Amino acid sequence: MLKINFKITGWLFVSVLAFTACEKEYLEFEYTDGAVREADIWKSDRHARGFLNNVYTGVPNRYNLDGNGALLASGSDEAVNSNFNSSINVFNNDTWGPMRTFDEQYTSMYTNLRRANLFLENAPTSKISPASDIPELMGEAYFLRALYHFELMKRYGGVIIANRTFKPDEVLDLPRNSFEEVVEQILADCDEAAAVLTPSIRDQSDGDKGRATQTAALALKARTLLYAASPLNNPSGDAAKWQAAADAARAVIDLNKHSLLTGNQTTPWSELANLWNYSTRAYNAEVIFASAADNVNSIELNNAPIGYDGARGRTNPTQELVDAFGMRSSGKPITDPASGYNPANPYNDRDPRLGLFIIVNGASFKNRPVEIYAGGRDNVPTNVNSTKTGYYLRKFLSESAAWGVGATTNVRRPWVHFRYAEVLLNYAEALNEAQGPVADVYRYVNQVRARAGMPPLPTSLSKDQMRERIHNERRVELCFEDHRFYDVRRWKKGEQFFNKPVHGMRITRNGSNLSFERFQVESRAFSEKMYRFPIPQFELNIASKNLEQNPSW
Amino acid sequence: MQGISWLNYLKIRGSLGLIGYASVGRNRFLYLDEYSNGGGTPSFGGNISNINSRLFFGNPSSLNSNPSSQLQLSNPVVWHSKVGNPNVTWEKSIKRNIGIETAFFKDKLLINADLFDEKRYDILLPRDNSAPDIFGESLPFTNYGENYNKGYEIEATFRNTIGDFEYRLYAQLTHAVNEIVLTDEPVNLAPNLRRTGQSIDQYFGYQVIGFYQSLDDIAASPASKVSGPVIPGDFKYADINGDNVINDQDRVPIGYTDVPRNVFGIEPSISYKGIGLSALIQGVSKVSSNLIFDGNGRNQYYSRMLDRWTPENAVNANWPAMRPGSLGGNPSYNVNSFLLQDASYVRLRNIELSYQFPAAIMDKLKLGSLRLFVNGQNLLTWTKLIGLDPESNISRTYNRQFFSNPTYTYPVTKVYNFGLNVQF
Repeated sequence: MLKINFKITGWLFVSVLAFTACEKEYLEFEYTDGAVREADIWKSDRHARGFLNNVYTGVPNRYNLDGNGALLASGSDEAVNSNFNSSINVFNNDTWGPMRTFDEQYTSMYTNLRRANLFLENAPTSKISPASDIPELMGEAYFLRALYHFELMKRYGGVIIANRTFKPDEVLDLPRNSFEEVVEQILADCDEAAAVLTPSIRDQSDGDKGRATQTAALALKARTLLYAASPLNNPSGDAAKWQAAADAARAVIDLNKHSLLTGNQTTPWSELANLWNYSTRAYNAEVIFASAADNVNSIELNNAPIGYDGARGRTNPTQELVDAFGMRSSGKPITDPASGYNPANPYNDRDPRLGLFIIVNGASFKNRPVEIYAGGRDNVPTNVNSTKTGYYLRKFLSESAAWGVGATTNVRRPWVHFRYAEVLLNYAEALNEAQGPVADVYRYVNQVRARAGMPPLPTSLSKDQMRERIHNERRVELCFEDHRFYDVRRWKKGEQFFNKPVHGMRITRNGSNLSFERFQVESRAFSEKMYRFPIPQFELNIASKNLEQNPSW
Repeated sequence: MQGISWLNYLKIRGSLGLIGYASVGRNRFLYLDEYSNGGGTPSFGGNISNINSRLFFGNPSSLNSNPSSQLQLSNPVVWHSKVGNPNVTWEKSIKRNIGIETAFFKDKLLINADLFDEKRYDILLPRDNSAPDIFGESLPFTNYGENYNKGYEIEATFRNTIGDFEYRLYAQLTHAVNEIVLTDEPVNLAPNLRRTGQSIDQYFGYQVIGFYQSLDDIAASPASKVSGPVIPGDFKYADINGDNVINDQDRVPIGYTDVPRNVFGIEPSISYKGIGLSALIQGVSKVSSNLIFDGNGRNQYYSRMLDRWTPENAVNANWPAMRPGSLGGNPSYNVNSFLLQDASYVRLRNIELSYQFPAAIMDKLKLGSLRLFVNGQNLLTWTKLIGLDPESNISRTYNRQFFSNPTYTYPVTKVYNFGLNVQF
């Protein structure tokens, strides 16, 4: 009996051993407490896709550039930052330099480019399944690579092209590629992307909305060509470059996938404010490409008037920007004696976008009128955050967000990088430069104006007059969206706009009468070298032989 | 030692060693490429677990009623977190030492001396400082750096007895200097900012050449971009690179490091018929400290600031002018040659007076031993360091770019003891 028992136990033991051995062989359990290895990533569908997702994390979100809520607008003549200590002021007070940079994206963009390149190099042999997804996923990476090169190009001009991953033991003191070469690289990547991507956000499945699309790639291509055709980068004024930019913008329009976000007939602008508000207008037809939509109330906390639950009123629009908004009834700029502008009642009958983008005295915000007159609730000079110009930001702000103690409401907002109105204005600008004020120029500028409730442009403008009108239309329509800072540079108008003081409006209340007085807020400095960003000194210290600094820095 | 009466012991010794250091406080897997995911940690088996929500795609409007379901839209994020270096090997050091041990005059005088050096090489470091950022990622660790450390150690004891009178003097001195022979630095780094050739953790700061005496003086001097605007009475710094701007490129090696180069101790003791007096005197020299009482950025002032620069006190000023906090950063409180302190000290670490009752009394009292003593610790300190105890150096090493306020340091205390030691 005992013997048999022993035998059985022995057999059991052997079979357990055999089973364990099998398990080991078939499940290939390998233990490591350290690295996740290369093969584990690219062998896995989920991880390989995750790698591409990570390339998207570099898409800039531009609501807070200094850690304290500054928009790039405060580095241009659009706005003054209520925080005088903000580092964004290096753009305005002539302390900018290779050792004191701001919004310096050199390192971060090359980090993003390496990620895109790693994906592009590994995706073709990865186990992404189904494999038929690979071309489109690579198209997204091509688009992102183009976007990151564009972010470098608009700052520094010609930069070192990173269209492959650099090796750790490679000599990386490379000469900068020319501006034209970078443009070529961006265009090539945009074309690769446009050929394979889903046409537009409207065609994407619910879970994919926000990923790169064909229209995004074409809009990036159009903007790149517009920059390349502009006076800063096209000193000889080659009209063919403008024509190329016009054609590229036209391609986006012709796809007929996007439209302007329009309200009803009497107030066509009424939906415009929701363009950035994904809680109510998710991936609306005007948005071509945007960053991931964060669920935040910090945009309001940073920018709302100071009388609202400790908001910081950061971005204070300048009088110069306010003056750029024309008169609604006459459609004329306020400088025109026949415009109907009344300096004693300056906000009356103005372009409806003024009320949508800027909080002026008396405007209603969160169910009460904003009081910016001297002594008002939103103008308290002893509060360091009080408005410096007499205006507060309204664009991007959602009235449903709340940031008070005990009652916070977040609203999902992306940073919109490309929207249809910009494409229309890109097209009009390029076409006017290439062909003069032909019918299409009027047509598309007037489309943008009509959505804002503004009358069409007067007919028979000269090419120069039309240029001024288009420049002003961009200034108004695209204010605070990171365009002005670069537009003025590419137009080579920095000395004209950025090298002079900015102004505000002082409002005094006497009974029910208000009086308005313009005043200088601060002086601003701009010089020739500031058309480009300086290459940061830390990089020059390393790459000493071939990397060249931009002129005069 | 036949025939040499004054020398009764002599030994010469030496050593030479090659030592390897692996995993010097760093990752054991330097040779592997690594990937990470959105905040989660790699789990057993090399799989990535806990894919965090780092990126949002998708139509958010359907989520309005239920914000917590946003996770449904989150997309996993995976990134390349480390470049591996398959050639990585351990750090090495060659240590050499030669010493003598001697005894003279029938062991009355003992002298030991050692001469040592250490060459540490193949130090593991990522060469990020010398590789352009266009690489786009942190570089792998490579065996690159080299340090050299050398010095000597001497100790001597002299002891003698004259009748009941005994005395003994022990002295010890250690001197050590290290130097960075090779480290990862940008090729174009200005010579005054190079760490190569300097000691490890050498302080760098501005060279003070005086005070700004007036607004005219400020206007006529190189523009200061150190931090915040300058006012009369702020330190005027030397424009080392001559570019007519004072900024962090004008910093130079100043002072020493926070590790003393010289450490010494003296231990005298005498005794006569049961009465004993002994002491330990200790000291360090060639050491600097970035501790400073600068008001902590708040409205807090110290008596030494009475000597500050004012137009009337311009000649005798011993501290920069006081300035309102609203002016922004104070350029005078950046590490500079004037305020970087000499942290050398000599300290009476311990002194003791004792009386050992003689054996005859012990026998009467039927006691084993009875000893009466009074001693004190840290009774006297001679130092130039102002503000704190020179050994309170906890926060000193925090950041050598800046002065540090000695907020969380607790000084060495003085201790007095009086005692009776009885043994049965």
